[in-house]
Amino acid sequence: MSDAIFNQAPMSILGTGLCIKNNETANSLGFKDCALDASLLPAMVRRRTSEATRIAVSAATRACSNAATDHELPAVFVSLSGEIQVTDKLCQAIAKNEYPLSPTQFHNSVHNTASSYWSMATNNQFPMMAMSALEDGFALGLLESWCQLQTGAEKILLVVYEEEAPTHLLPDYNWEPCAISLVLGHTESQLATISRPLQSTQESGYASENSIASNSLATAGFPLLRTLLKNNSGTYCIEVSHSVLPWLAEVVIP
Amino acid sequence: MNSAYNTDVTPIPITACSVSCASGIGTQQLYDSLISGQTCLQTPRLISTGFTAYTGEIADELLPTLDLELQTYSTRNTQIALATLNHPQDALRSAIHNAVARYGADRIGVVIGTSTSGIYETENCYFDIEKNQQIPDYFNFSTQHVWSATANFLKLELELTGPCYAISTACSSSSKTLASAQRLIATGVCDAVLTGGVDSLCRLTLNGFKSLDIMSEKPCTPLDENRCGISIGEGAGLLLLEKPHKEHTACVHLLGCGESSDAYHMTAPHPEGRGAISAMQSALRQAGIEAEQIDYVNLHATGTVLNDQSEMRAIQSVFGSNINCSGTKGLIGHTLGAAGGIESIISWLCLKHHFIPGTCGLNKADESFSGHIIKNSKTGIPVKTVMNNNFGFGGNNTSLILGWHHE
Repeated sequence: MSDAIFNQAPMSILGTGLCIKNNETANSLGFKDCALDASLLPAMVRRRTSEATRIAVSAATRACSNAATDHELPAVFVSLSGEIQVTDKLCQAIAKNEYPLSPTQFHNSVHNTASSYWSMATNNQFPMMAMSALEDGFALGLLESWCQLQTGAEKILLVVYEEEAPTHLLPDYNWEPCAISLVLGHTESQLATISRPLQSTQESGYASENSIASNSLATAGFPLLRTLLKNNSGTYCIEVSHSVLPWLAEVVIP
Repeated sequence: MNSAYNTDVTPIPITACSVSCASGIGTQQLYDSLISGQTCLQTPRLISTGFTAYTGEIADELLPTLDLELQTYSTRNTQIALATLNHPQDALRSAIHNAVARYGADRIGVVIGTSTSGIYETENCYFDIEKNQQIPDYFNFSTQHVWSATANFLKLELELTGPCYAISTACSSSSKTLASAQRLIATGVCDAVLTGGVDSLCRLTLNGFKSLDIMSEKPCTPLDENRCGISIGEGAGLLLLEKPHKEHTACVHLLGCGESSDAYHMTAPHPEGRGAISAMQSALRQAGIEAEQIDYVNLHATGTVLNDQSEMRAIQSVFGSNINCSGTKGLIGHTLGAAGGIESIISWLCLKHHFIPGTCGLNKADESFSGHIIKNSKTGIPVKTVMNNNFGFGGNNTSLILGWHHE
C-alpha cells in the first residue's frame, strides 16, 4: 500500500456521533454520550419509525451538533439489513396470509427509510444515498463519501447503522443496535483527518475471529472512534472493516 | 442550489450493456418490443394475488441455474442477473473480461441497485417457518436476503476484486449506481464499474403497492387521462462504465447525473416536483448543456395520478412545452429497483437506433400535461442527447443524461 494513495486529499473529520441503544453495552465499551435520542423526528413519525431509523437519526443529529454544522448537507446512509424488523413483520403477515399488508409498514420497509425521514425532518433537499454491503459497509461508506467530496460536495454526513436482528429468523446473529456517524469535509479540522480507505492485501487476525453475525457493520467504526477519543497527536493506520482482507485508513490527529 | 455539486466530472463511456425484462433477454428483444408497442404485461403467473393486477414477468424457462459453487447465492434476483450477463449478442460478460485483461480485476467495481434482493426466497422461508416452526436449510441471509447479495454474486461470478456494494433507494436505486460509478471512475478509484440494477417479483411489493391502493387493475397506462396506478415488472439492466479512452469515443456516454431529495413525504411526490426539478437541473449542469439540447426525456411516469402530475409539472418548469417525452412502463411494468438501469438502456437504444419510444397504453394524454408526449414509437429521427428520470419513495430523485460525446 503506497503512501502516495493514502496522501490523496484526506477528509477532515468535522464531527462524530454515536448511538448505542443499550446503556450497559455503551458502558462496557467505554463510550459516553450515545443514548437513543431521535427527538429531531416529529413525535408522530418517531412513534411509528423503527429502531434502525431512530438510532441512525440519533447518531446523525449528534454528529452534526458535534461538527457545529446545520443539517443541510448530502448524506450517505449504510446498513447491511436496513429495516429488517419491519421486513420481518411483513413477511410474517405474508406467511399467515394476513392481507392487506400495513401500508405504513410497507413504505417503512425500504432501505432508504432512515435517510428519507432524516431528509424530511431536516427539510434537506441534498442527495441521500442508501448503501448496503457485508463486512465492508463502513469502509465503503467512507469511500463513497470521499468520492462525493472529491467531485464537488463541500461537506457530507456518513451514517452507518444496524438494528437488532429478529432472533427467530437469525438465531445466530447478535447485533447490538448501534449507529455511528461522521461529518466529513474539506475545511481544516481540530479533530483529525482520515484518508480514502484502501483494501489491504494481507489478512487480518481480527476478521477471522469475528463474524458479521456477532459484529454489525456499524461496529467497524469503533477503532476509529477510540483513536479519536484518545486524542493523541500522531498518525495511525486503522482497520475500518471486518472483512478478512480489511480496509484500512490513515488517521492523522494534529 | 442544494444539489449544485459534482460539476467537475468528465463524460464516462458506456462500453457494454444488457437487459432482461418482460420483453425477454437482451437489448434487441427490448428494442423490438419498444418498436412494436405491444404491452408485455399479463395477469400474474409467478404469484397468485387475491386481487386483479398485471405484471411484467420473465418466463421461468429463460432463467439459468447458478454454477454449483455459487449455489448459495441462488435467488430469482441472481438468476435474472445471470441471464442478463450471459446474453451472447450483448456480450456484456466478454466486455467485462476484456476490462479485466486491460485494467486488472482489482480495478473493477460492482455497484448494483435493487429494491427486492432475494426477498421472494425470504418469503418462501417464512412459509416454511409457519409450517414447520423452523428455519429451512436453504435460507441464507447474507448470500440471498441482504441488499448486497446480487452485487456480491456478480463480483464472485466474474472474479472481480474491486469495491462492491448495493444501492437501495427504492425506485431510484439503479440510477444512483450510475452516479456512484461515475464518481468511482472520475476519482480514479476504479477503471471500470459494472452498474445497473436487478429486481424480481415478490409478494411483498405486489401486496405492498396494493395496500397503498396504487395497483392498476388493467395494464398500467402512464400519462393517460384515465391512468389508475402501476403494474409491477421485474428485470435487470446492467451497464459497464469505463474510464474515458480514445477507443471508446464512439460509445454512448454518461454525460451527467443529478440527484436530489424532495424532503416532503414518504410516498407522495412533491406536488410541484421541486426535487425532480432540482435533479434535472443538476444533471444538465453537470453535462454542461442547456435544456434545449435534450432531444428526448424517458420519464419516470409510473401511472399513478400524483406521480405523473408532479413529474409533468417539473418537466414544464425545466423544459417548457416543446420537449419530446414518453414513459415506457406500460410496456414492461415498473421494475422498481431495476427501473433506472433498464431505462438507461432504453435511452442507450434511442441513441443507437435513432428512435423515440412511444408511451405504451396511452390513449389520450392528461390535458393538464404540457410537453410533447410521444404516443407511438418514432423511428429515423436523430437523437443526440437523452434524459432519464427515476424517482423513489422518500422523495429520492435521480436524473441521468446519456448522449454522444464530442471533444
